[in-house]
Amino acid sequence: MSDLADPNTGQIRWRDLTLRIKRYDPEKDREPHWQEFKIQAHPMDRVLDVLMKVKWEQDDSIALRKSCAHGICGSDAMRINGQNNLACKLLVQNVKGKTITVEPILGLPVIKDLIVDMKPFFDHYKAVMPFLVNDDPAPTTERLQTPEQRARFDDTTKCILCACCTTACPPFWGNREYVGPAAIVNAHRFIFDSRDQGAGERLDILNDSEGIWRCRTVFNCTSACPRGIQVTQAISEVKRALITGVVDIPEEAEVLS
Amino acid sequence: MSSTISEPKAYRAGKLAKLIDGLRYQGGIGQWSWLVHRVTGLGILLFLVIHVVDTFFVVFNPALYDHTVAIYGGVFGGTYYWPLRWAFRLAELGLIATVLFHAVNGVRVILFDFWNEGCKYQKESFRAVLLVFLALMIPAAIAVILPLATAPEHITQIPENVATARP
Repeated sequence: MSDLADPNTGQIRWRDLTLRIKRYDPEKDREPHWQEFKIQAHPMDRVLDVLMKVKWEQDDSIALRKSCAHGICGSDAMRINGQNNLACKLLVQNVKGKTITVEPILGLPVIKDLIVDMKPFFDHYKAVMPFLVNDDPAPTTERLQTPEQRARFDDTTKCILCACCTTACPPFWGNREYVGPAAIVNAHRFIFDSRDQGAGERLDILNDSEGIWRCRTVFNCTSACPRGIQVTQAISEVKRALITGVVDIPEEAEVLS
Repeated sequence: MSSTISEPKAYRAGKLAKLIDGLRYQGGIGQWSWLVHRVTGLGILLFLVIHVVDTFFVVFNPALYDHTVAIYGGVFGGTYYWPLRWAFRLAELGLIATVLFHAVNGVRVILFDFWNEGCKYQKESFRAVLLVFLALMIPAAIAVILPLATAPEHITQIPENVATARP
């Protein structure tokens, strides 16, 4: 933290920043426009803190979604300095330059300012059956699996449905019918779960002209994911399952039977 | 009551706005390699269309074919113009670059799909693509540009066969 502190006083230096926000008022504007605010920010503030400070002190008409503010609920996804991220996960000290540019995620209808209509996104999510499918009689205890079987889909369980990946995806910008990386990640989470029996049905849904084959391995999803999910890797695993017809799940160990 | 409140309209970005906003996205190596791959793919398609059309001339009008090929060599209407030859020669170099990049990066994209570890090394593999591309491109560039140094405009006496020969 030494480089943030004033060498004479030892105090953390506040930074003078310009906050550029893409504004859109559905009752007045035909198109979004940029608005700038001057603000002093603490290096350890999150971008969300800066936004809220501007909203409280300068212009209370700024509209944004936020809830938990700890990177778990996934409601404050926005494009910050050109890349999708959660406003609550990016610290001011990690922002380069003197300007923070904030705009709504691209590819979904903008309702107001930074708030987008998430319905198309959640429709795609629902389309891949993101729930456990198992027609066996429910056991009296848990459905057991080995640590290896659990590890097989561990990465994709981390998804918080913030839409950072889907709205960073050029094929999705071009075609909103594309199912999108987030939905494929959530399909992957169940396809490779040893307790699940719906893999075939999910693969059928994804094997569509608007399905998984629209992925062009751009890797914007992987770099945008605030949870660090290897999205493109997950998508290519599902692609391989479709090509080979084999869903490679680790074998059940002796201990479980 | 119903006349007082109208449903506010959501903003839907048009194709141009999406293109501009999309190009402004800071996606890094993955995004730019994908974009260049796309553009070079379209470039190759454009070349193939031109190539098929001018080769087709030989079937129904051989004289037109000779005329077209002479233009590629810098000869228009029986007169040699060196900027024309340079333009086509450099465009050929651009075509080689386009095909080379698309081919080498295409192997990288195939690896994403068929090699389990492919996605882990997308940045490293792009650096390898650039190295292979340069290794092939530098000799190609020398081979294409060197003949320009001995092109007719550098020779005081233009040989008889240059104006009529097919390059």
